[in-house]
Parts: sequence; C-alpha cells; structure tokens
Amino acid sequence: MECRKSQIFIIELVIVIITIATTLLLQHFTGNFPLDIFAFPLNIVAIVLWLAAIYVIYNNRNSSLVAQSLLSMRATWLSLGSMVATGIYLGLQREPDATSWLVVVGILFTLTHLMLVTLRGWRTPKGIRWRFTLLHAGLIVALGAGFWGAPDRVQLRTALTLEQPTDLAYHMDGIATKLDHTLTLHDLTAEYNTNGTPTHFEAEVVIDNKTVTLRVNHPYNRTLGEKIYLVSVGDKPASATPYCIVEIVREPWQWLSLVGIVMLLAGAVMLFVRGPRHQANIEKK
Amino acid sequence: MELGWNIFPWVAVVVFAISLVAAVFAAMRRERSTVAIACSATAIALLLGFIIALWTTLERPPLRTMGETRLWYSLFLLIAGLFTYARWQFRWILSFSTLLATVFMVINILKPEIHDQTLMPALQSVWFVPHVSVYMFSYALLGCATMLAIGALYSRSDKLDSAIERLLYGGLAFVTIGMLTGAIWAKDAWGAYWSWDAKEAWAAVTWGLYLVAIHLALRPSTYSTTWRKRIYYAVIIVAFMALQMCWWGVNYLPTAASSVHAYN
Repeated sequence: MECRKSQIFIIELVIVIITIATTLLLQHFTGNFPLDIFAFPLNIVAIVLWLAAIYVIYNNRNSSLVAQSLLSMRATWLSLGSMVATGIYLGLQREPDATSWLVVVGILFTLTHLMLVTLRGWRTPKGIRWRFTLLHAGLIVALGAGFWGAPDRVQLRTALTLEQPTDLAYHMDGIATKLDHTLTLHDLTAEYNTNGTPTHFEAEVVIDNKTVTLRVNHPYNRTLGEKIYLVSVGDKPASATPYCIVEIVREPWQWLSLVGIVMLLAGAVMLFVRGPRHQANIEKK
Repeated sequence: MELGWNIFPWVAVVVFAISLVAAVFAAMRRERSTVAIACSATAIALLLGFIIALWTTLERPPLRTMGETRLWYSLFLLIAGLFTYARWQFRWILSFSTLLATVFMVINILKPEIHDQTLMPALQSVWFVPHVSVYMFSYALLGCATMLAIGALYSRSDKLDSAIERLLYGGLAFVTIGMLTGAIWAKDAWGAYWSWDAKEAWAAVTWGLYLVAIHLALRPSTYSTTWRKRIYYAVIIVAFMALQMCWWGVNYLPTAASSVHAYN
C-alpha cells in the first residue's frame, strides 16, 4: 500500500515537472498565453468542455487515479503553493502581467481542484456545509469570472477637450477604436491644495445625450457591463486648454465577480463567528 | 451651538475613560464580562453620536479629511474589538482596541490642522475606512497568533494551540474582509477588482499562506507529531512576515514607484 502511494506521488511529481517545463517552453517560444483567442463565444465553449471534464472526473473519483490525485490534499498544497508563488512572482514585477502560461495553467489547476473539492464537500448527511460552500464556491465564482471573463474585458482611454465631441478611444497598446457613442466634455472642476496636490476634481461629460458627472471612485454605469471612469484632468487649473482623460471599461463578467466576492465575504463572516471546527478536539487534548 | 471638532477633546476623553473601564473588566474576568460589553457598547455609541453630529454640522458625510477618517478608524477598531471580545472572550482584546482607537483620537486632538486637510481624490471613498481599519484589526489578531506560535515552537505544551487557532480564524476572516472590500473599491476606482499591483500581489501571497495555515490546522494529523506542529507554527510565522511585506515592506521594492497604491 505504502509502495503504491509513493509510486502515485512520483507519477504526480513527474506530471507537475513536465507541465511546468512545457509551460516555460511555450512561454519562451510563443510569448504570453493568447488570451484574445478565448473571447466570447469561445470562452463559453471552453467552460462547457471544462465543466464536462470535471463531471467525468468527479463521477469516476472512486476508480480514477487522476480524480483521486486532483482531490487529494497534495493537490490542495499545490494549488495554494501556486497561488503564493504567483503572488511572489508578480509582486516582484515592475509591470505585472498575469497572462503568462505558468500563471494561466496555475489558475486553471486551482479552479479545477476547487470545483472537485467543493462538489465532494458541499454537503454531508447532516446537511449543507454553508461556510465551506460559501468560501470555496465564492472563490470559484470570483476567480472563475476573472479568469474566463478576462478575454472579454476591454479597456479603452481617450482624452476629452472642452466641447469637442469624440467617438474615438484607444486600447492600452495604442490601437484606436471607434465607440458606439460620443463623449463630450462639458465642464471641468479641479481644486488643489496650496502645495499643488489635487483635492477634488470632477468632469461633466455628455454621454448618449445625457449629462453625467464623473469623479474618481464614482464611475458612470453606461450599460450593465460598461463603466466610464475619470482618470485625470489637465495638470493645473490654469492650463491653456482644459481636458480630462476618461477610461471606458467593458467587463461583461463583472457582476459574476461581485457575486463571488459577496459569497466570500459571507463565508469570511461565518469563519469569524463559528471559529475553528476542531476547537473541541484540541481542547479535549 | 454647533457640535463639531470644538467638543471632540471632551468626547475623546469620555470615550477613552469608558473604554478603559471595559478593558479593565475584560482583563480581570476569565468569563465574558457583561460590564465590559456594556461599557464598550456605550463608548461606541458615544463616538458614533459625535460622528453623526459632525455629519449634521458639516452637511456631508465626514469622510473627506484625514481627521474625519481617523474618527472612523477609532470607531471601527472599537467595534471590531467588541465583536471579537463578545464572540471569543480574549481578555486582552479590548485593551488593545482601546489603545489603538485612542492613538487615533489623540492624533486628532494634537494635530487639529488635519481636520481640514482634504484627502486626495483616490482616497475619498466609503470603502477607505472599512478597508483600512479591518486590515489593521486583522494585523493585531494575526500578530498575537504569531507571538503564540513563536512561543509554541519552544514549548512542549499544547496549551497554546487552541488560542492560536482561534486567533488564526479571526485574523483570516478580517484579512479576507479587508482584501475583498479593497477589491470592490478597486473596481470603482481603477476599473478592475484585481490587477496584480505589487500590493495586491503580496496580499494574495499573505492570504495564500494563511490558507495553508488554516488547512494545516484543519488536519488532525498536524497535531500528531512535534515536527508537523512545528511546520504549522513556522507557516504562521512566515505568513506574518508576508503580511509585513504587504503592509509596508512593499514600499521598499523597486516596483513601489509604479504601484497604484502609492499615495505619497
């Protein structure tokens, strides 16, 4: 039995090493993961295939070595380890880019492990394990929405000058794109401390024939999946031509992310209220 | 007479005095002290009353200046302390929350110039105060868990395990709430819940390490041998080092200059 366990461990280790080596080679020869390919509707197809694979793996959990490995505590350590390693790697980058092959594979593995563990543990004969389910399913929804929804996320910027309508905005790589609406800067307010640091700025912008006030921390919800942000205003109040920079973020999956965050928040509150599950066992010892 | 900053020193003294009584009663009693809870709740009500009065006087939410946000820090720290004491009966927790809340009230008294010092636009958000104060409170709980873990590393006794685990659960709950309120704020401020900015990346590292600690604590086998327990204690210590990195260490990294969390 022990011999079989160590054989399985060695096989798992070899698979992990081969996966890491493959992703490093892909990174070297092809650059970052081609995120754009998986934009809607291909990401939906990928999710369906991924969920089908999880269904098959989970249904064979008693006989399949792959399922047992993915449901093991070793897989938990590996997914938590990959989260820590990803954080350290990106935390040391000047311009962190989470689309490298290694990061993408690490997140996919973590999501797969989380799904299987949640399916196995969300209820017991005694009933639903609410804290466990909220924490694990919340993380799946929040992380999953960010991961699968990333190819559909569009971030554009444009500069607005007073009373000059524009329907042109730029992707972060500088490529111009035409908007399906116009933006017109109608008024600009900027207040500064005596040392020149800004204390308040806001822009009155006409969007879809509607005048809205944009402020930092107060974006405008143009549609369910699109928000418009005020990024900055002309350097000084006395600048020759008042202008502001606005950012248009299209993120159709943002509400799903929020659902995951709220589930996680509820789980965190339960973590505090209920405390350690093994408390009684420890105190008995 | 308008109720504003002019009466704050008196309010602060009374809040401090009542909180101190609560802290003393909590520290003296092994069981949950009703007097401590009642006094702590009274102090919170008084401070909240002052904030509401200030809100009415200013005719806007008092969330715009340094001095105003420090009022909320004090309030949230007292509330977090009371909740934690009511739930877990850590005898020292009210002393700690009183001390920290008093520090912010004293700063407000000694530096009246910050009452009118407007926060930079990025910090003018309803998420600012809960995000920061919840994180600060979690640092306290996890700091205590770390000190006990260091003690447990050199002790053969199991007595500390129960307290370490309770502190770990409380601390991780607050860290998670702090991180998630930050994510919601980030979406409003920068357009993304998570952008792997240096601060966010180290927050993920910290969270991941505390999740490792919690998963270790969940396994009965962790407590079965000395070396397994030592690994558990070591993870708690390393996680707290990561927390320091996230809190202030990140400012010394070359990446700090490009961080969206740099407000200086």
